[in-house]
Amino acid sequence: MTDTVLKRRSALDGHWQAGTSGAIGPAGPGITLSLRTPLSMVQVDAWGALTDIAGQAVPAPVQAVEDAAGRAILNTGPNRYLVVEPEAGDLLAALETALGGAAALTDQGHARTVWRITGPNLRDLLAKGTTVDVDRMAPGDCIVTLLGHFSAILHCRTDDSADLYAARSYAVDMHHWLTESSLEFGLTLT
Amino acid sequence: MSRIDGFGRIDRSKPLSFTFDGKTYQGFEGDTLASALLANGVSLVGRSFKYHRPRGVFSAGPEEPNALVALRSGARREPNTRATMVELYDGLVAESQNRWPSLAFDVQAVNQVFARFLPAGFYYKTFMGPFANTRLWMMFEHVIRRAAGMGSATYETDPDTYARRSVHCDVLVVGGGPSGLSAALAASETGARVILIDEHAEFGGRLRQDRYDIDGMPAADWVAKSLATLASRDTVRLLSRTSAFGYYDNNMIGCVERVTDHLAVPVDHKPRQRWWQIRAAQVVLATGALEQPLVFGNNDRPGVMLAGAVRAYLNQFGVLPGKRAVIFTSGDDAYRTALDLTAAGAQVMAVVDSRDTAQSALTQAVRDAGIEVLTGHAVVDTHGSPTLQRVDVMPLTGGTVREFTCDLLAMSGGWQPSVHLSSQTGAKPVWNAELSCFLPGVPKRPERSAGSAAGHFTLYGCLSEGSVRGLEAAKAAGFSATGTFAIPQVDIERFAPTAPLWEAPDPPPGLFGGHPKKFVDHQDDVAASDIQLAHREGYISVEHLKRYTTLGMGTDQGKTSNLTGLAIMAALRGEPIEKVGTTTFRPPYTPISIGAMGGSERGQQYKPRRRSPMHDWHDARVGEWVPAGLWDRPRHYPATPGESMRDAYIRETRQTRGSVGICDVTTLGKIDLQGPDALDFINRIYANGFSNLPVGKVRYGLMLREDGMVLDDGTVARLGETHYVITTTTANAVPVMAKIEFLLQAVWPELKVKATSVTEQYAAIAVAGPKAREVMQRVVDLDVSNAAFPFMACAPCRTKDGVPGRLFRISFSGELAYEIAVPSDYGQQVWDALMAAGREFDIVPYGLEALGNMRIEKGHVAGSELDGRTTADDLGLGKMLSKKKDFIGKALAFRPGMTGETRKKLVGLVPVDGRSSLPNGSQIVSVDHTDPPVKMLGHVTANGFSPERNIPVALALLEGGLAREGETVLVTHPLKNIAVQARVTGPVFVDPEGKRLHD
Repeated sequence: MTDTVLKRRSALDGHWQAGTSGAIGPAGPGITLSLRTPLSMVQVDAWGALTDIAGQAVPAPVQAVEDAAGRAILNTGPNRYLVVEPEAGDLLAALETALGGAAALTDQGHARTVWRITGPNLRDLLAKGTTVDVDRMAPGDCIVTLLGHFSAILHCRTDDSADLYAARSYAVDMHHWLTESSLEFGLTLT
Repeated sequence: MSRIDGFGRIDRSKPLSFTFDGKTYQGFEGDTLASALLANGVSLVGRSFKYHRPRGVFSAGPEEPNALVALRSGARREPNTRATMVELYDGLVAESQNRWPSLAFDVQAVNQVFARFLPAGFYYKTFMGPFANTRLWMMFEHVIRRAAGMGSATYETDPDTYARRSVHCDVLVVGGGPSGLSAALAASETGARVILIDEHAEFGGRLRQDRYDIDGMPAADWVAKSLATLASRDTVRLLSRTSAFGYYDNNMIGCVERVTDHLAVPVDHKPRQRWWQIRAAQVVLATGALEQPLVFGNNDRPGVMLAGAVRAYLNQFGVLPGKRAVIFTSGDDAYRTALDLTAAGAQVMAVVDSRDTAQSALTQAVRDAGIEVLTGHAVVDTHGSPTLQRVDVMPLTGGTVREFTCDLLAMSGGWQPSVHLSSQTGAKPVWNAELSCFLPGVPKRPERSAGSAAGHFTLYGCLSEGSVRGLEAAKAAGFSATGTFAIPQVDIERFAPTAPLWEAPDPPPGLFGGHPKKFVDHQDDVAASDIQLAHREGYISVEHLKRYTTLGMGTDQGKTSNLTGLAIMAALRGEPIEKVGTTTFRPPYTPISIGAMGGSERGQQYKPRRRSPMHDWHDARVGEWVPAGLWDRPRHYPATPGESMRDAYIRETRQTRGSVGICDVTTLGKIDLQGPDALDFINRIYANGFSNLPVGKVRYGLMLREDGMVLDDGTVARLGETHYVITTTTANAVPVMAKIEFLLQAVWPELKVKATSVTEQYAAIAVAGPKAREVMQRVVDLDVSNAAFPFMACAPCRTKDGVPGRLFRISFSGELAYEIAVPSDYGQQVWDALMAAGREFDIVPYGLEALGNMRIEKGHVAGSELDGRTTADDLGLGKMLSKKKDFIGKALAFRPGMTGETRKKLVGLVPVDGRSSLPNGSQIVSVDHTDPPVKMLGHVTANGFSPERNIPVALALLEGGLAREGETVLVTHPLKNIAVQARVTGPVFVDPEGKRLHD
């Protein structure tokens, strides 16, 4: 009999100092970072075009959708999606049931570290690391790009909030880049 | 003090204190260092590069060749800073350069006396020619290099930060003078995203420096009104203190913003400078024009200044650079200087105009003011030490010299459009004889020049052309005009025709003969006589002229010298200027700091490293980190403080082989392959066969390059009917993944296979040693007995804590071993569980050194053998190449020369004395042939120490390979002065039958 005592330790465990730093102006911090963990993430690499994944319509290329329950589908390439939700159950098994043999499914729930970046200086921060036209970035956009030295997926959620997905092994240095780059705007880590 | 009331845009309510060469002075907010020095009567600010002649402020802008100072002190010291571009701040510290012991008394100024013996090329001709490649030259070079150069940089670490920023726009306007403002106003009216940049703190360009009225208001008010309009449009971004230094492909303009350079220390976590990459659909270059100096005797004396700069100091800074002035010009523009000086209360002794006639409203206004105008004349010499006291004026045709007492000579040789950025795009500047200047060439990119940058030198021309070009750019970017922008009302100016004077005549010979030097390039001390010398010696092409004399090679890139130098050469060649051509302009337009280039990529961000999920655990215990691919890996774990790396890895090896060891192998590449054609694909990319690999089994795999050389090795595990996970070496994880993607997308798109890297998803831990089974059994819920889970088995598993994972019975160490892969966030939990389970067996964590040592003991190949030059046969893996199937590399793997006895092949080596180590990289030679030339038989690829055999061991690639088994060879490492006799053995030193793997 197995006793289940799961201890998920995010890549930023011991590296996340909640609090404020940098040049906080009268309007408050320009950037607020929070860590999204634990998450379930499954890559859906479909053999052909999909209309929906488990009932949720798939986003167009370079787009992402998110439902009320917080399940997001990111279009990350031709017929390729990343399904993301707060960890609740076995997402991989659920999608296997839903999709059958329509796609190759790969668990990526521990492969990415995800930051939620919010604040009025969101675009100023991103423009320090990516050459994407961030001023034209709109809610629902899903951009696969480089941020500084790091491969990243940006999911723009609202005008001043985006989720950043980066490789777990680079999380500490990515976080360092984010926090250092945010200092001039004033930073809160939740 | 030479500050004039009623002039200037400085804030006299905000005095600032600063020091120059240790002496304290006062300036005001709005001053530059140059204007504040002039206001304090400091006219000697530096010494010249070669002759150490005294030099003063020459210009008021980015072109300054003389007033180069070391700014700030300590770690923030910045040499060769142009005083004309340094905004004054309270507490500013600056020092003059290129002088010793002091600016007023400089020992090396003795060079002036010998100047006639120090022509262009002097150092190379004298010291290099006869002594090239000799020890003597090395000595000369040392002394010459010390004498050369300008300022010196600090060796301390820059305490400030630098940032990067990328931005896109529809229309980028470079330059915020009348043309640029007009262009930005017109372009932004269409709704286009417009960025307007200017290198100065304030927008306005010449409007800050000249007295104009626009739309019936002072120009400064029009500038303020225009900026307010632009700022009110949310599609407009205004960037002051920002220099566009380079024009790159795809209409990308590189700019540097001096964010906090105008402060003593950056505040509010702001960077000192910000590097902008601006990608613009359309560009308007409103970069203005640079006034050119005139070439005459001793034209470099402090007090000799560009006429436009004199107006700048007067009108922008309220500084009168001299009380008695002479104007020397070849065009109308400098007549403004005469009027402005008069208005400020200075005495203008004469306007010396090299043209035969000068009849225009402007010149008439000067005559009406009672100022003497001498047409057809030139200034031929200057006097005064160290600053100007007198000039000699002579008719161009020769004749009587008239002396004028003065402390300021304002000169103007006409204006040259700043064609730098347009030229950087490859558009060759075009000579315009009427205007006597180069104009921008036909655009090769979506850009156009406007205003004086395009040769429109009147205010009306700038304003009207600016708006036309701005609108044109917006339209080209896809916007349509609304047409409400009206060109402002200004006076129409009509200038008398220009006639350039490239070089003034020499004055009559002095008492001792000879003529004064007539400088062309003030920063590099290149005189007209140097150009004549270059011409005499055959360096008549502009490119040769530049390199031979160093004309235009200073930090100012010849902004005030290229044109004149070129014109003088053209005259010497007897050819028109357009035939002589120009040198190529290259970025940067003005100097940019290395800090700005580096941006935030320093320290931790210089080269980010990948960390395993157990990184922090290792970090608390590791002896040394070692980079492996892009990862950090622990090299060894000292058991006691001070345990050496060698002792540690030998201990880790012994303990693993004796009981059990644990190693973080997360860094190995892991690629998930799924799909009905996955097996077919695997058979194509690996050289050995996989068709009979059952589900639940792992097999070693060898990949070749297309040319038949070995690319990489790893394992292939069959997780399901159509589901595999393959591993790669750490270093090749990314290249192999890239290759797989290329093959699936471009070569075999018909194969139904999906490949995904899962390296990041899983933490991987190896447990090896005779007690490995007992440890693993305590942690996982799977029967790991030999019967239930034999060598090369794999299966999904769960730890007793409930962590899902995959278990593999594979071994790199040659011991009974398991590798468990679990989702990364659980890596530490499982590692802890394994450590706890192994405590009773004295489990030892082992690092990369022990890992490498054990693979050497087992003769397993790794990166140092897979060096791109070895074939499977060389590595003893020739039998793996499948004869039944086709695979990448097969066609070329069996070429003649790819196999055969004379190739260098894998062998083992042990020292004959049983003690000496055999360093990596050692060359192997025959013991019988040590007299040169010595034939190289091979080299040592990896070495270690086998505790089990109690002897140093090594792997080597040796000509003939195992045919030499038993032979004694000489292992030499000349750099370490090592020569050791070694015996050739098989490459497997421990458990050659592989019994331990299978037990």
